[in-house]
Amino acid sequence: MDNLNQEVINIIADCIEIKSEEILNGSLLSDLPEWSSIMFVMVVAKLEERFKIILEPDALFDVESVEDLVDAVRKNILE
Amino acid sequence: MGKLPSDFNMNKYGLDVRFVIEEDAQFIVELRTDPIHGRFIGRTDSDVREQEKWIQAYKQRETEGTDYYFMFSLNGKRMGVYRIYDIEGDSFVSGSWVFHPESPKGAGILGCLIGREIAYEQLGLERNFVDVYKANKSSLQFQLSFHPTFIREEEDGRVYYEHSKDNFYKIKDRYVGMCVKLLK
Repeated sequence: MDNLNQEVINIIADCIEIKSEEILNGSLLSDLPEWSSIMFVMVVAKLEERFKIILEPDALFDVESVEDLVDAVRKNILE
Repeated sequence: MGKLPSDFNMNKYGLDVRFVIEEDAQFIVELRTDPIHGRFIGRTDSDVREQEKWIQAYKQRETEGTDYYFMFSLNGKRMGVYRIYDIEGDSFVSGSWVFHPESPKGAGILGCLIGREIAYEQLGLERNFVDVYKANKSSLQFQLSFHPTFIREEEDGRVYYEHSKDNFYKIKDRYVGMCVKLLK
């Protein structure tokens, strides 16, 4: 797991208030405790703030897992 | 303070907004009695007839201008509800915020933002009070992102805050752009 991966997981963990060790790369976001559409927007807003990026909806529609979210952030940073 | 007309309806950020009517009773009961999404709002009778009676009583408060219960729809499909109530002087309470779990990701947040914009811009209200269960992490995180003033915490885990109108307008655009795009 690289630094970006860990940072995304840390942000998710911080939002839903669980230990980052409890979140796996392959975890489905919908399986995380207290996950909701509101939490999704909150996490995306924090990722955008942290990485100074704008995640376009096209990149977010199919996001289902932590890994998907990491990929969306990574692609945006590399663009 | 102003009042909203009985036939109030508007479209904002892609969502259609109108007052709740008796015919929404079944939909609201389904939302509020959902074991996951309705668990942090006040207890609701699962009897649709009781919900209809509640809406009938609400309609009186709507006429008086002390309570507005909004239904949000997208492309003709009901998405969720949000309410501004206990309207008195320049203050209001907001809550009863529940959206269908299958509504687009941005819909719920837009519903909340639209409700507060109506309160500030169409009713001329200034002070917004909310209460949220600490265990309702989504809603709590969202409320805290507007940097509200803590008022008190009850033993049942409910926390009371007052929102600043200035903070609302400083922060809301952070969500609007993303949520509007997520509706599509």
